[in-house]
Amino acid sequence: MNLIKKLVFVFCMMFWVQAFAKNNNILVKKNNGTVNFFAIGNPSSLRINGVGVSPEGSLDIIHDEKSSKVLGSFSFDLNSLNSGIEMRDSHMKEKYLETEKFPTSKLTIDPISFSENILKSKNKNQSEFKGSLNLHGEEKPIIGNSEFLIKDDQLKIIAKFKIKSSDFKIETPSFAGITLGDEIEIEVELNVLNPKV
Amino acid sequence: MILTSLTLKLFINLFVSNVWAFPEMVTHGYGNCISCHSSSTGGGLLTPYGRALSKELLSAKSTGPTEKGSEQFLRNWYTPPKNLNIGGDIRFMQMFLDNQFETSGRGLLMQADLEAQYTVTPKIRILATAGRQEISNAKKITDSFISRRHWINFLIGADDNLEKYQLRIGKFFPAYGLNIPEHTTVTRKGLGFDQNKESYNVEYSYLGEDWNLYLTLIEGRPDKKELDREEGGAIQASYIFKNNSKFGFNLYTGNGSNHPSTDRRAMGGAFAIFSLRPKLYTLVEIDRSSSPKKSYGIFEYAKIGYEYLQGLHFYVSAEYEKPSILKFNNSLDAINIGVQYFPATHWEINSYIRRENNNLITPTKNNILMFLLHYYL
Repeated sequence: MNLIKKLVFVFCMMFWVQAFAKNNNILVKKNNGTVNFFAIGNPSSLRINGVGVSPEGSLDIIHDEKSSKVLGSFSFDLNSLNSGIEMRDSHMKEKYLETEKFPTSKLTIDPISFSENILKSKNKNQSEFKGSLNLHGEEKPIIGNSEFLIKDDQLKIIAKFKIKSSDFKIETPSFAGITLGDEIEIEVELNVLNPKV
Repeated sequence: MILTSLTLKLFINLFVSNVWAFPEMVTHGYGNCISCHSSSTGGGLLTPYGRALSKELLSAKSTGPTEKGSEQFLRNWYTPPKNLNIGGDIRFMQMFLDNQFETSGRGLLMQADLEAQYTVTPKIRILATAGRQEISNAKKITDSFISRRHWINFLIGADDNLEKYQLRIGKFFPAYGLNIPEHTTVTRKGLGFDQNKESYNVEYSYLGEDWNLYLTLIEGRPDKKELDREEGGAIQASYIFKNNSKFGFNLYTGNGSNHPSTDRRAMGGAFAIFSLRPKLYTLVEIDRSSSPKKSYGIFEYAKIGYEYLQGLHFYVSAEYEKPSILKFNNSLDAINIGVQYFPATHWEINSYIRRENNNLITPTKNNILMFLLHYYL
């Protein structure tokens, strides 16, 4: 009897939590931010910064009064990348990323848990995230760091992670004696309207 | 007439440039000079990557069909053997000078140098320049011959990054301050890094991702003791930050090789290259020099430049020099307003007006219009 009471209680609690949790779905478009990448070429520690449009996709923020969860999936237009030098960009896209065959990259983010409601919090909420990245026809798990910050009516999201070009079977970029390092840092910055809580 | 001739010679000598480096490239992410230049401290012979960059990033975008290989040596008319990298500089100058004593003008072929590097093994490189220098009392053609720089370079880094650590022995400028092409600025000429002042040195350099370090043992000119060049040492450390900016510190000590006990000086300074906005940049250097004769002096240089279009830069620079605080009326200040244009690969045009209050010798207010045409092979 006691056990039945407990089960009923747990069930009620679950129903209560489900009933009061809200799900805000945010559609992210190309003008909502940028994708930046940073790589180092050697010799000379040449620094290469590139920028592209925002990834497109959707972000789900499931939240109640005391916690929130974020998950989503995005697609990024690799042809939008610009590193500031035309020839470098054409080599990057045509020879290494092979954007004719693989024009987009897809990022899927596993649920990220926060111990407060990120849509109401005035603090910068940071958390590690896991997910998977499909690039150059290869899918690999990734781990990165995310930040969520509400400022006025905007929700600012920054996600940073590192990849190795060799993991995605991308040939090591090399030109006129400069060879790009295997590791590439990626930063996604999004600014979207704060959904009504 | 004599005064005019002397003044012109003085200015011509002042404005001749031998090492054509572009520290502004730091703002494009090129924190180390060796991406584009054979020399670890920049300037001079371009690497294959530097040639490509001179076409893609430095020069104005071609409006016509792009000629493949136009950035190569002699526009690819001749391809040197694999281990040989050849370059060179031809530079013409036209200047007009106006001050309370004279108004004059003159054109001059300032430089015609060939420069070549031979890769002996992947870890050993030899480089030398050969060209002419302006000598008023030259009797034979060979009197005008000069090799401004020559060295042997040992790459002693790990196999996957040989250039990270380097040892260089030969004739070149020690790493000190901003290695800008305008060698007449007070932070170059005023500090003794003027044209043809290269010395024989042993340099150890560390070229890391964020930090660069140069340790230089300066041996002066043992081949020409009569020049009484300084012997001593220099240290330069610099840090690259935000991927497009850099700051650094310098220390230098030198003794005149003929009178080391009395003719000595020490210098210290700082410099920075900042990318303020994507096309707006600034270069700053400040140095303090001290010696028993002059107590201490101050040398300052600041430049702000804007790349209006690819290959077209407008700039303003200011200079201040006070070699000795012991002397009351002993300073130079100048402001330069100029435009630098790279109309096509291999070509550079630099023109500026300079207003200068020069009280270093005779109080003179100079107005100078300078036009430089540079072709690199």
